[in-house]
This record gives sequence, C-alpha cells and structure tokens, in this order.
Amino acid sequence: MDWQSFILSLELAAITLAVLLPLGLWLARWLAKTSFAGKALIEAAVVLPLVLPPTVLGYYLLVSLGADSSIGRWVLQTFDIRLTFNFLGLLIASIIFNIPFMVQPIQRAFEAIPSNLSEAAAVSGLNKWQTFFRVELPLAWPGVLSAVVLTFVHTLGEFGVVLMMGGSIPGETKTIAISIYDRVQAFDLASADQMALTLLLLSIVAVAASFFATARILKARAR
Amino acid sequence: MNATSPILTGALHVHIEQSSPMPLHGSFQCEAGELMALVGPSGAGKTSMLRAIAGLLKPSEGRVTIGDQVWMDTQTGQFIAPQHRHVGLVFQDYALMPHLSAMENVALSLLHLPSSQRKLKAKLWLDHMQLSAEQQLRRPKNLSGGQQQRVAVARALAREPRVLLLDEPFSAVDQMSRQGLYDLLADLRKELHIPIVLVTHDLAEARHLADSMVVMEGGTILQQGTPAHIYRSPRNARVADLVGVQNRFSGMWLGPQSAQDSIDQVGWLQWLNATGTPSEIKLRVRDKGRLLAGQHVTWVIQGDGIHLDEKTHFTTTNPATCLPVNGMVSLESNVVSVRHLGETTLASLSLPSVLGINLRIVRSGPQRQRLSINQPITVMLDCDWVHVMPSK
Amino acid sequence: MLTAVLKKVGAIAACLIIWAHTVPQSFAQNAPIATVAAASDLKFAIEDLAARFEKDTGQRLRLIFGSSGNFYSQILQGAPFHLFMSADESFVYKLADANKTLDRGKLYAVGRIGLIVPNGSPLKADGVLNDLGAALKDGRLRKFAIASPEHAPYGMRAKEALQYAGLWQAIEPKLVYGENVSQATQFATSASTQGGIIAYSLALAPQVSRLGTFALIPSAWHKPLAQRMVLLRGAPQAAQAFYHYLSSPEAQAIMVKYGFAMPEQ
Repeated sequence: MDWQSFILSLELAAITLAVLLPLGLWLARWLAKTSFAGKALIEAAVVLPLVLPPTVLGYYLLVSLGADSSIGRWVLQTFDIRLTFNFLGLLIASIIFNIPFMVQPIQRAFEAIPSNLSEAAAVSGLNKWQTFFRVELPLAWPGVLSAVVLTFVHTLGEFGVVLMMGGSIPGETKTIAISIYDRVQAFDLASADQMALTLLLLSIVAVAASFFATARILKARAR
Repeated sequence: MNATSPILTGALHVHIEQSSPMPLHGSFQCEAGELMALVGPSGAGKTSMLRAIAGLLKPSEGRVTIGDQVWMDTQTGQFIAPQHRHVGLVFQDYALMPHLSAMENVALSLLHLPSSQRKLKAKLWLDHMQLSAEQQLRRPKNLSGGQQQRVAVARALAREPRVLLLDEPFSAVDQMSRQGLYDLLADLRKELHIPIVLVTHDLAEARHLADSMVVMEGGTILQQGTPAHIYRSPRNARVADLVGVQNRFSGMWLGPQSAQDSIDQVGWLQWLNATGTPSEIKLRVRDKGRLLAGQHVTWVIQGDGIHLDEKTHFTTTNPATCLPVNGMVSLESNVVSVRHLGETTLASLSLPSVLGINLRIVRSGPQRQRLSINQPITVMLDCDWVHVMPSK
Repeated sequence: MLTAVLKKVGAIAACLIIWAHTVPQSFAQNAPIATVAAASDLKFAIEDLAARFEKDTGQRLRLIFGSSGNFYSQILQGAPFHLFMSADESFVYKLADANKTLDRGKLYAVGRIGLIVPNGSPLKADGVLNDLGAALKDGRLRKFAIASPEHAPYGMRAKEALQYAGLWQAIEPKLVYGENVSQATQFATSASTQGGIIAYSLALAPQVSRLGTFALIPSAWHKPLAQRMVLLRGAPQAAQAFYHYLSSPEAQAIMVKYGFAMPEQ
C-alpha cells in the first residue's frame, strides 16, 4: 500500500474541491439564472473536459503550461514557479477537468428552483447574499452534494491527464492511480490489488453516502 | 397589530409606458386605505403591473411613487430595489419556501430583527392569521391551500409594507374559504390604511370587494373608476365587453331635436336593428356633447335600468308611439329563454320592435319565479341608465 | 444535526491531511530531493543500487522508471529530473545538444534483449527465433509483446532483431506494444500473449523468471543497447554523488549480476 500516493491523491482531491466549489457555485448559479447570446458556447466549454480524452487534455496542458510555452516561461520568470511536473500543475489540470463534474449538477439544481422564490425573497427584504444562503443554496443542496462527491471521487481516480503531464514523481505527482499502474508493471500485484480495492471501496462509500444524505434531505423536506 | 404609522401611509401612483419586451401602457392610482382591483383577461399585463410596483420589473419608461417617496422614475434614473421598497406581495402560487416551516417563512421578512425577536413576531403574525401553533411549524407542503395563502399574507404583512399587492388571490380558493378571505381583506383595510391592489380575472369578486377598478387589456389600461361607474358608463365598447356588460347595442346618435332638448342637455338615440337599419325606438338620453349627429354609436344599459312590468299590456301594436314617458320607454317583449342558476335566473327577451335583438336580464328573488318561456311581458328601459359610446 | 457534525469532521480531516503530510515540493521552499529518471529495464538493478547508496551515504533518492523516450520528451518540457539513465544513447545526445545536460554523459551498461515464453505457452524459448518463425506459419502465435518501437529503446531493438530474422512483416499484425519494456514484460508473461521480446535485466529478476523461460537473442542482430546516463542542469549534490557511485566497481559488479554487460573502457 503506497500511503504516500494515497495521501497525495486525497490532498489533490481536497484542494481541488476547496478551489472549485466556490468557483463552481458562482458559475453554475450564473448559468442557471441568466440567459444571453453565446450562453450555449460557455455551456459547451463547461462540458468539454467531460468529452475530451484525458490524454488530449493532458497534452494540451503540457504544451500550453510547460516551461517552453509562453505562459510557462512568463510564470517561471516572474514567480519562479513551474506549472508542469509538479503538484501545482496537477492541481491546475484537476481544476480544469473537474469543471463539468462540479458545475453541471449544481446548475441543474439551481435551474430547478422556481424563479418566484428568489423574487419572494427579494420582496421580503433579503439581499442577494441572504437569498443565496437562505433560499437558493438549501434548495440546491442535493445537487451541490452530488457535485462535491463526484468531483472528489473523480479526482482520486484520474489517470490519463496525470500521466501526460505529471511525470509520476513520488510524493509530488505520483497519485494512487499512477501508483497502481506502476505496481502492476513491477509485478507487485499484491500492492496493486490492495490499492485498487481501497480506491473502489472509497468511491463506493462516498457515492453511497451522498445518495443517503440527499435522500435524507428530501425526506426531511417532505415531512 | 399596529397599523402603519400615518406618516408612512400614502397613495400609490403608477405610470408605465413600455413597448418591449411586452407592451404596458397607462396610469392609475390607489389611495391609502383603498382596495383597487386590477381586472382583465389573461395576458392583459395585470401581473406585470404588480411586478412593476414591487420592483421586480423595470419598465423602459415610467414612474411609481408611494406617498412622497419615489420608488422608480425613469426620467431621473431612480430605482429602488424590491428589497428596500417595503412592499407586500402575495404571489399567485404563494411562493412559499418549501424547505422552511410557516414560521420560518414569515421570519424571512424579519431579518432586520435579532433572531430571538424574529420568531416571536413571526408567531404573532401567524396567530393573527389564525394558524394554530402546530400549523405554524409545518412545512408548506403539509398545509392546505387556504392556510398557505394565509402564511403568504402573513409574510407580506410582516414586512410592514407601504402597499399590499395580491396576485389572483381567489383563483385557487374554494367557495367556502372565500368568505374567510373577504373577511380578511376587510380587516386588513381597516387595520392597515395602505393602498391594496388586487389582481383578478373574476369580475364578480372585483365588483364585490373593490373601491376602485382598473380595466386592462393587452397591456393597456382602458379605464379606472368605481365598479358602479365602470359598469354604468364603460368608456368604450371594449371595456363594456371586458367587464361583461350584457346589453350592448348599436345605435345612431341623432342629437338634440328641439330647443327643449338643448336646454335639457339631452339628445336622441335611435336603436338600430341587428341588421343595422334603424328601428322605430328612440331613447332620450343625456348629451355629454361628445357625439356628432348622425354618428354611429354603441350604447349599453345596465341591468338596474331594465324593469319588468307584468301588469301593463299593450293593446295597440303601433310601435311608433314607443317614446319615453317620464324617462322610461315601455316595450313589448317575449321571453325567449329562461335559465335558472342557483339563486339567480338569466332570461333573454326578444323585442318585436327591434329586430334580431335580445335583452338579457338577471333576476333573483320572487321575480324570477314568474318568468317562463314565450311569456309576453312589458319591458321598461330607464333612459337615465343608458350610456352612449362612440363605436370602436 | 448529523449533517452539521459531519461537515465539521470533514473540514477538520481535510485540514489535518493537508498539514500532517509533507507538503508537496511545489509549495515548499526546501532543497529538492535528487530525482533519477531511469529506463524501465533498470528497475530491479537501480532499486538495489539506490538502496545501497542510501544506506551508505544517508542521502535520499527518488526513483522514477519509464520509457527512455518519454523521459526525453518530458525533460525537454522541463521535467524536474536530475539524473537521466537512458537505455539508448541517442536520447542523451539529443538532450545534450538541447543544452539540458551538464555534459554528454557516460556509458554505464550495455543491455541485451531476449525472447521470453510464459509458462504454458505453445512457443519454445528459442533465442534464434526459428521456433517463432514456425509458430507464425502454423498458427500457434496469436499475440506477441514488445515495447513500443516509437520511444522505447528495447522496443526499437526488438524490432531490429525481428527484421533481421525476417519475421517483422509476418509478426507485425500480431504485436502488442508495451508503453515501456516493463509493461511489455507484463504483457509477455500474461496468458493473453504467447510471448515477447524483453530486456535481459528484467528476465533475470525472480518476479519475472518464475513466470516463464527466457533465451537471449544474439546481440549482433540489433544495434547495441548502449545505455547512457547523464546529469541534468541543476542536479543537486546527491544526484551527482549517485552518478559517480554508479561507475564504481562495486556498482558495476551489481549491474552485471542483474544482466548488464559493462562497456569496454
């Protein structure tokens, strides 16, 4: 059991969530509430990482953020920070390829809220933040929970993108999925078995817990 | 509950002019303590008007003021957001938050108070709306339609609004609960002394409850006035149709025919047959100086101006002498159809003197028993109740 | 109530995970750990040598194994490796030309390829590939594994050997490619193929040798597997120390034990 990789994966998932949750909430709500010419393009961009092969995404990230690219060079010169082959690079990749997992369930949840509820809140004197926290977020909560769990589990298991631009560096970019791959190649199937099973159980538990929590919320509302 | 202090009451004045995205034209006003009904068919723009008053709709041109406070004025660019307007809006489907209890819903209007006081005041409002303590803790899903409405009203009132707006409050309420709603509105008028605007497509209700009515169609305000006035003197044929004036006929305005007519300020109205040819009946009605002799007009007469005289029977069949006597025109008629509905009876009377035209009457009480099909009966029209409008 | 408690526990757990663990290097400012990017065929040999080195000197090394071609691309893209042990010289020379290295490196070993036949396979472990040719004709062979000739040196050499034996055309449609020679070994020893061409150094490892039978292929049949290593720019002291250690007689003896020939000095 490669604990280092396991904890690295957990860290990657947790930090991705911490960054993507507020961003996703804002984007999802905006897409749910507004309509404008070109909205379809933005929604397509949101879905894109979902349909793009992970290796394609990884490749483009490598090429556009690597030390040879204009962005990579500028960041290196200005901040002395690299954007590939390190945890930061993985984090950036993780945030990008998890956008659809975070935004879509939340967007659907916000869309399902009848618009007159926000209006009733406004007329009752609630400002935008109060309306968001007291009315919209509680009603969208099952969707948010779904999105969080999906993102977390998906990040834990991500392989293709990490392989392309991570470099499999232990303690830095060697996530648990990469580690499993590595153990198999080293003919250490016992280790691979252990880690794969752990991932599987963790994913099942997370998804089941989110369904359970969602069902409880909906049942409580119906009471 | 405390009435809003007199300083904060004031009349509501609304003026909107907008052509897109949806047309809205017109002005109206509602005094403090007055109940105004906004009527019209669906799609007339009534709800949009309410939303404009609440600040949920920002028209391209217009002005909304309450008392001396300007809520919106497109000319000066002022716009106060709904949050800051202190307006009470009861939505058609109540818009109660499904994840909050009744008490928590009302507490939403009280967020400016510390949390301990909030619950207390919410409870007081719900008690006032006659919801039991146990009902106050329930989610909207577990309350009846009438109870939900009362929660919505409580939430609107907890805001201590300067104007109360109700969108189709009767549409989902069954007959039994309606009386309760009437009583509630009557109480609110007394207690609050603020303008109350009520949107409805139920004309009977509007007539019953409102001090003043505004008739709308296609986004345009056609007429404002007391219900009695509108029914008696609709501004034009369209308004007459919208408020359901039954007896609408074509006529030819003859104008004053003698010097006495001019002194009395009356003119003559010739009743036209269904085909458009003149009948022999002429009515002597008030001349408001707006019509030209020979002008084709539409005229209405409200039910109050139609009397049935079972005793008088014409012995002569010469209709040419059917001229007003003491302001009343007596006409021979035949009952063509009788329909008994609960406590009222609708009857249709044909007039031999005016071809193809039927008079519609509504009777309740003892009179209705004596109507039967093919019964000959004398009809007396009170020319005072005749209202003449230019044809569309 | 339960959700509130769960939320708090989750938040605390998240913080603990992030704090308790050694923060990944991209956020830390301490000196980088010496990182060795080594060709897959060196897996068992270098793990052994690195362990000895760490025991002797107390300096930690980070090892990454993969295909030499991939490492070459990654280093060009700025991957933070310090010592590159390639299974093919040309990659080192190209990196030197691209100014990524301290010098033009050193030949550290010469590798060998061979045919491996998993237990139970209908193929025979015939190093001169006669049986392989026969198996192609009589249909015993359905799938055969080699490393990718595009970027893995052992794959390139395998292709050359097959071409030399005149079998390439016939066998190409039946080939399965490993991403590196380790993966090719994995495929070759699985029941899904009837065999493959892999690195001698891997075949010697007990984990592999018990899975099948191995036979060397004549080294004249392909270009030499001149395995070259090189220090990259910015390599820390530990990487340099390891580089020198690898040339020591002690290290070379161990390399021979793992199936490598030493380059003629």
